[in-house]
Amino acid sequence: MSADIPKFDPVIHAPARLQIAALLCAVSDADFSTVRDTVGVSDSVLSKHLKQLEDAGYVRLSKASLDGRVRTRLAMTKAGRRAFAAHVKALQALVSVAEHAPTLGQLATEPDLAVSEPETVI
Amino acid sequence: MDAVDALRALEQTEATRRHVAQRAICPLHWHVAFGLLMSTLIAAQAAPPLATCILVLLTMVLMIIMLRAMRRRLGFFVNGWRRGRTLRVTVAVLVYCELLHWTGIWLKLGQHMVWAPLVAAALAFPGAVYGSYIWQRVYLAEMSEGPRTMAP
Repeated sequence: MSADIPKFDPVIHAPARLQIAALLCAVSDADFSTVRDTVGVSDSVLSKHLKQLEDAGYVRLSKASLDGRVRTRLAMTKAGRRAFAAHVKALQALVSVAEHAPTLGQLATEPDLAVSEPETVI
Repeated sequence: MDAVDALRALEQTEATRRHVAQRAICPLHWHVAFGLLMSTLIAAQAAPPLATCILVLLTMVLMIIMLRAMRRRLGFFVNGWRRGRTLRVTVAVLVYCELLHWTGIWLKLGQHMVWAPLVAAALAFPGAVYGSYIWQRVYLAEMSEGPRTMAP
């Protein structure tokens, strides 16, 4: 039964990166400062997360001038949107499986329903 | 990760999307401005060729200024042609406006009704304003879907 559950994406799995991906998938592109304020992290923490998303080919960074100031714009790539969609489906599948189990406790103890934790990427 | 963590992650995702959608709510005058720009493009066909070119160019410049103002205010940009349920609204608005646009041109050139593009523009204005408003409502609804049913 666990074979039916889609795989989690280790890059998107971290809460902050999941939030960044959710935000960028909802828009065409966003300013660095908007993402930072929405996610509630510092510039340096956001930069680290973005580096990982960029390395995975999920996020594209570009510089644009607006009102005489250079701003960094972030946009999700097609691969990033696909990965986010698959990750959300995996989360939904896990929740759905749990809802069909009599209790959440059974999910944790049932070997067929065990879902492995993705490798942590820091 | 267990189901509780998964649900929490989905709820966090939903909260982020809802936050974006709430920020993206435009004041009424932005919808009106969009309607004015679309109807100006159509009304421009009533003018002599050179004036038509100048009006179309001016409308394009105003459209760019409007987009830049939106980006500055929101901190992000949402393309009208984005995939999702809003695409149907975008296509409907475009088809409606283009039908009026070409009907106006045909009536002006073929039937010598010089005023026809002005009537077409008057008809396009409420349609474009309403379409813009509906687009935003559909986008909001899509972004506010619950974690179990939301389409990523």
